[in-house]
This record gives sequence, structure tokens and C-alpha cells, in this order.
Amino acid sequence: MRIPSSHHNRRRDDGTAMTSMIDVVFLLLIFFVCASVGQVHENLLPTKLSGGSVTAAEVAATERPLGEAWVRLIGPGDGTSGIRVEVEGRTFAGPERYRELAQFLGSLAAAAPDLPVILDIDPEVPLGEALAAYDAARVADFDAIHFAIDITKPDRRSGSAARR
Amino acid sequence: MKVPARIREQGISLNLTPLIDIVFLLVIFFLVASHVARTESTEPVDLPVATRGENQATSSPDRLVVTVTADHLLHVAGRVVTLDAIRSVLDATREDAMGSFEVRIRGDRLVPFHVVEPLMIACAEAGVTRVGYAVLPH
Repeated sequence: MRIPSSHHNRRRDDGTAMTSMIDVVFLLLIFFVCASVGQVHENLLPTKLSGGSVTAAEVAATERPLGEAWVRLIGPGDGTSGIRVEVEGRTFAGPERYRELAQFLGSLAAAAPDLPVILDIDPEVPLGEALAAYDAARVADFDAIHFAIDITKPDRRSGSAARR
Repeated sequence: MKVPARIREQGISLNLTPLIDIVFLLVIFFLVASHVARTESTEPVDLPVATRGENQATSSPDRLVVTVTADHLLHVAGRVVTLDAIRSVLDATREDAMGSFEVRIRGDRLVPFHVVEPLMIACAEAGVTRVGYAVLPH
């Protein structure tokens, strides 16, 4: 007469529980694979604002303080072809302007890495161009990169770092 | 020798506790995932390209994602919002977690800078210093 063994029954129960868990794990795996399909990987270009200083003194446009590198982006805003970059008396234009800007800023950074870079961007310049200039300053390994803002206009009451 | 008697009355016993555990776990997971997906709803924008973009995994989990589409509209969590609404959100958040709070701007590359500039000003006024731009790797 065969006596049922409780040991064998327990082993069979464990196998049944594992099957359910494997099912759920595969379900989650398929979910994540399907959810990740079509996702474009985005990076983040961080910037550090100096918040709160709304009433700081203005800097006159004609009196650029020494010890700052002002990068000015001038453009029509209806496209990216006519945009120029001016920095320290030099003008960069054309399709390679940001590579040239990065090289020039790199030479500046080699001489004075603590020099703050201030991006003075015309309102009509596209965001992609502004971030390309910001990226060029980061490529040059500058530590302090700021955005200048225009406080004379009603919607621009305060500044992130510098004021025109 | 005593033979253990079969207990016919019990039949097949089904332990439902692990099943309920897993089902509740899945329910909570999908709730959280859908909440995050709604909070960070990503409108399709043509992002700028940058070489020095950082991996988003290093950014703060406590953040506000603002999408600026090519038609100059601001979107937060899939809804079109005004700049004043964003200001109020930033002011409300300031007291809670100012140090770790981050604003992420997903702006179309063709959006003029004067559309994004007030957003940066609002962050500076609210005391939010951590601002990041979503970019595509070069």
C-alpha cells in the first residue's frame, strides 16, 4: 500500500507558486519593453539660477564690467541662418559658429577659468540657438554661465544672473 | 502500522494570499505609473541638441516639467497653463522643498527666447535655482 508523502506534496506546491511568479515577472517584463519602445532618450542641460535678487543694480549696456565674458546672440528669429554670435569684439557666423565659439571660449577658459560667462540673447533668437551657445560655454569648461535678461520690459521683471 | 487517512472533505486547497498580494502590488504599480505618466506628460516637441547634456537619472525627482511647444504655449502635466499658474505652483512649492526642487523646461528648438525667458524669471523670483533644459544628445 502506497502511503502519500507530505514531502512530495509540499514540493509540488512550491513548483505551482513559482509558475505564477514567473508569469507575473514575464508580464512585467513585457510591459516595460512595450512601454520603452518609442521613447526618445532625453538629456538634461542644467543651469543654476541666482534666485530672488529682483532689485539688483543694473549694469549699463555700454559699460561692460571687466572680468566678464559677454556672449551676445543676435538674430532675426525667423530662422537659424542669420544668427550671429558676438563675444569680446569677435563675431561668429555661419554653420560652424558654435564650434568656433567653443574654441574661442576654450582659449578664454584656459587663461581665466573663473571668468563668468554671460549670455545676452536677443528675444527673437530661437531657444535651440541659445542652448547651443550655453552648451558651447559648457564645452569650454567655464564654471559660471549666466543668462542676461531685460528688466525694462513688463514681462521681464527680474534677472537670473545679470541684467542688460 | 497506522496509515494516515485521506481527508477527502477538504478537496483541493488553493492558497489565495500570494495571488491577492501580487494583484494588489500590480494595482498599486499601475496607479503610480499612470500618475507619473500624467504628471510628466510629454507633448511632442523638437528638442534642441547639446553635447554636454547630463543623464536625467541624476536630476531631482522633485520637479516640475514645463513643455513649451512650437506654438508658444506652456504645458504642465498635459494641460495648457499660463505663466501665472506656473508662478503660483512655484510659490506653493517654495515652502516645502526649495533646495531640491527643480524645474525642467522642454522647449521646442524654434521657440523664441522671449517665450522661455519669463519662465526663467519666474523661477528666479520664486527662489528656484535648479533649472534644466531637456536636450537631445548630439
